[in-house]
Amino acid sequence: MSSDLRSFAGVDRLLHEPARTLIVAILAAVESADFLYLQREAGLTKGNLSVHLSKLAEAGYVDIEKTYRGKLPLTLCRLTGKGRAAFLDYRKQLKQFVENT
Amino acid sequence: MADEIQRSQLRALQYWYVDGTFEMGMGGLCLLLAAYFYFQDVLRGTLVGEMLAPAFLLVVIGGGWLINRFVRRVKERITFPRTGYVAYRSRQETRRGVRIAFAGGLGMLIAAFIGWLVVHSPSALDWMPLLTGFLFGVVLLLFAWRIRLGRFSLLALLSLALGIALSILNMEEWSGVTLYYGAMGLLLVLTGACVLRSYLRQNPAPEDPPDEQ
Repeated sequence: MSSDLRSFAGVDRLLHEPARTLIVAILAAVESADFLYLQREAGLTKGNLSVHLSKLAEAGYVDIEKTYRGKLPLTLCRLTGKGRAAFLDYRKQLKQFVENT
Repeated sequence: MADEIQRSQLRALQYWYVDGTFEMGMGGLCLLLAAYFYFQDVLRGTLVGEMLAPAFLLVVIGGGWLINRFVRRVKERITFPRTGYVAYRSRQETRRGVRIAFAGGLGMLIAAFIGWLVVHSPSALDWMPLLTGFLFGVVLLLFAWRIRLGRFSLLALLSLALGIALSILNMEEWSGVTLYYGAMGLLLVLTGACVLRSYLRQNPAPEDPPDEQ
């Protein structure tokens, strides 16, 4: 196995999934986004998005706050410092791998 | 994959402008400035007219604040229930301070330059719509470049064209600037309304409240 491939094998498996990468990428560009926005942008079902968000929250990458706007429930998602660092690292590894192959 | 990441991040930045309320807000501010210049022209020589001159900054800051509140309120009622809520990161305090100081300094420099021009060469007033159109056009071009939205480039070109046309017409004193802000305000409100109409067509009101788990 070449060194490039070896370094890519150590990529964050939690982020190396298209739907989760997209969710984290969106959250990295903003302060916070609600469930509806993420669902529409990532093109996922409510159940699917819930599962992905739970996994990211368990890893400490995403902070989920359940609140209300008026009488409507509002789920706000925010990338944590750990999540932002992991995403930057993942992007760096991905870019390096693409450049070297 | 990397392209998709960049696209989704850019779309998140463009989301603030997706419903046309930003243009409508900017248009509202331009109409407010048109009203300010109109009344300053009409009331010249009176006590109220004298009081209006130093109130320019108050009109810009106060008007901007009011319009920002209006845009947020409209978004909360129309945009967020349809396509979701996004909050943007506030820039780092130190960088923000530098940016505000830079923008304020630049604004004061431009205002001082215009004041100096008007005092030393009254005929410079004939070119004021061109200067205003150019400066406003540059601001719109910066928006277009930052968020990659073509309609702002078009608005920048229209701003410059309007400034040139009104300067060639050679109108009396501040009438050219009044007309410029009036026309630009209407143009921005109209553009914003068209964008909002298209947005509402593509995103009908949700029938059920969101059921989030």
